[in-house]
Amino acid sequence: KKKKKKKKKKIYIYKQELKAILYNVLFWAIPLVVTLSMFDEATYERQLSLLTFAALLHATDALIMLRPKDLYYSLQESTCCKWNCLRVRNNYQVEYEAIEMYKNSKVNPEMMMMAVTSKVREYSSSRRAIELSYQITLEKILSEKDGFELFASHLVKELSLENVLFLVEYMQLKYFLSIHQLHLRIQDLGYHVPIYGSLIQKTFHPQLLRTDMSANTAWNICLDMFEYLSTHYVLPNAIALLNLSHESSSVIAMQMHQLATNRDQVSVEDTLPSLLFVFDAATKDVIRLLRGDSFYRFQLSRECIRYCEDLV
Amino acid sequence: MGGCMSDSQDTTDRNVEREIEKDKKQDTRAHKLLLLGAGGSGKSTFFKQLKAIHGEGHNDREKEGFKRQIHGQVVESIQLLIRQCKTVTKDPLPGIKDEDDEPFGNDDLDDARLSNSLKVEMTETEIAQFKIAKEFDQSCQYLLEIHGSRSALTEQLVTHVKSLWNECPAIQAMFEHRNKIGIPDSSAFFFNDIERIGRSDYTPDHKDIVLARYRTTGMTEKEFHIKDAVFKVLDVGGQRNERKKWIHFFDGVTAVLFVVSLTCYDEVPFEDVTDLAADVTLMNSMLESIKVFEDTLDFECFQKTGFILFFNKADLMQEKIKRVPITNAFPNYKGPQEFKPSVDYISKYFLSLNRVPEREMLLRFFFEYVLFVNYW
Repeated sequence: KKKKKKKKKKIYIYKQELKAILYNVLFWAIPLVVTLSMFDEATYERQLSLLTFAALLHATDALIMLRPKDLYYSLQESTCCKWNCLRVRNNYQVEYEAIEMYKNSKVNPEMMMMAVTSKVREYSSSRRAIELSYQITLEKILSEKDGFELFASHLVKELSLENVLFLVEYMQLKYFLSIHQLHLRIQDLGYHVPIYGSLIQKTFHPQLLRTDMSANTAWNICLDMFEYLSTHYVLPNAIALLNLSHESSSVIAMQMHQLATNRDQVSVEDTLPSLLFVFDAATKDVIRLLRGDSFYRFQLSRECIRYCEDLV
Repeated sequence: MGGCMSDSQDTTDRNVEREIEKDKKQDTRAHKLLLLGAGGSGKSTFFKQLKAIHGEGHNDREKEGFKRQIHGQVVESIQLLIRQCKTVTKDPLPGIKDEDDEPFGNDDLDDARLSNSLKVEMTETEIAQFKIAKEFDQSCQYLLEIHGSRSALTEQLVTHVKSLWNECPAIQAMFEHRNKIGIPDSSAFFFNDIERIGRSDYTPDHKDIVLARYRTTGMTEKEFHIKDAVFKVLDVGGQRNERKKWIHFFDGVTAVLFVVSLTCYDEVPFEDVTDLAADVTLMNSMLESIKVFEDTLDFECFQKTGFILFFNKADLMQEKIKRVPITNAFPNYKGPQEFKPSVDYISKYFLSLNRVPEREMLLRFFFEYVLFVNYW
């Protein structure tokens, strides 16, 4: 009985091999036919091409028959992994283990092969998840709900949530500007951090989103928001003070000081671009800090890898 | 049925309690060590060292993170150097619209500069040495415009950085004043090795990892098993805003490892970096360190906690002492401008800040990456 099983398994692999050989023959036939039609019967080029293509065909066949198993695993995996040879070895290992496991149980060979391949796939998917967690960017994490929440909870653990809170609130301010079309009166809204949409939108008070609000009120609310941001995150005694360089924080302080003294006279066209400019600088500072420090630890964390597994 | 419910609840309760108990036991078994110190003193560097020596070292994925930090440091440093050169020489920054700020921005700044007696005036010739020649305009513009999502070093970037660093005297002149504009010393090492670092298959070695400097935000903890003892080391950020968070870790600390950079007596703290006109005798990281140390000593919960003072960057100090006297930070120092007496004075000064005589205080010195336990 066991022999039978082994035979069947071998047949399965042979089938794949046969397929590969067939493709190989078809592949080499093309240049062969092309060159044969190109040269006359008694030329030496014809002989040469016949020889070379036949040799190449056989060489590839030999390679297939020597069976480097890597050929049978999907190409996609093999391109994304640096340690290709290790991966092949591991694939062998996993497959071997799976076969050993199913050897004793009385399942029919086809089922067994299915189980083995699924096992292999599972293994490679967890590996891919790790690879993915390696390549994932801060922007991608922030722009998706689950990723954002995981990252935020990671920051809570590390006590640096204020960075992300600032990003969210500043992006909400920009959203507010775009709702009330204040951005049409200036050139552009500047730097944009992609944070998943529903978070930005749902936390607004419905009154604030009413489009029939007069431009003046909207502008005043916007100034209030800037003031809130600076007192909450930037000025020296802020509750959630950010880790900003003097370069970024001093210009904000200066702008806010200017604003406080002549708030009634400032207009959208003059003030908004410079306000956005200084806050954008701070945002870039925060992003840089997150990317280089907290985010890289997040990438190493188990949560991130699990999240990437779900993505795979 | 109700009884059944409460029964199952009881068991879960008990399980949870057991778990809490177990955690507590583990917590008491572990010695909690807190790494404190002002910004840029080398807490995270010390943490990295610990990990390399007593932990499992750094795996490939962590190295990838350090690679990114090193790249970030290179880009940030060169950008800062260019920006400072441009501001000193009042050269408009290319590609960045500054006009928006002009209406009120610049007048105010000038006023502040005039009224501020702290600032040192510079002569025309001094300013002229920071003028970046026209031929580098393209490089400057390219470098100032990047804040890409992945701060990987491209070939183009490497060549730009290399030409600026090696051929532009203004950048070099500005780097000499790195203490005032908050550029870490190790940036020179990375600039010199820019080709190696910029290669696509580059992986940082131990030296690169230790030299990499990046701001920390929040805190990280890691357990180390040294012989039979378990140490739980907490690494935190040292900037002013980060210090507000320290109080959250103070519970049940076995010892505080307080890190002081020996070379910071002429360095401007990160949060105060403005431009070259800064006066280092009035504000420097050493004064900041002393203040932080005093504040830490005063905490109620630390009255019986042991302190270990780490004096870091002693190797750099040996070089720096030849150029700059420590009177910047210690105006009462009367000794010679030499390494040993200066360090002696600094360590004595720090020890004298301790007003609780029964508290244990230890001194340690760091040379590059070798720890000298009993240096004296």
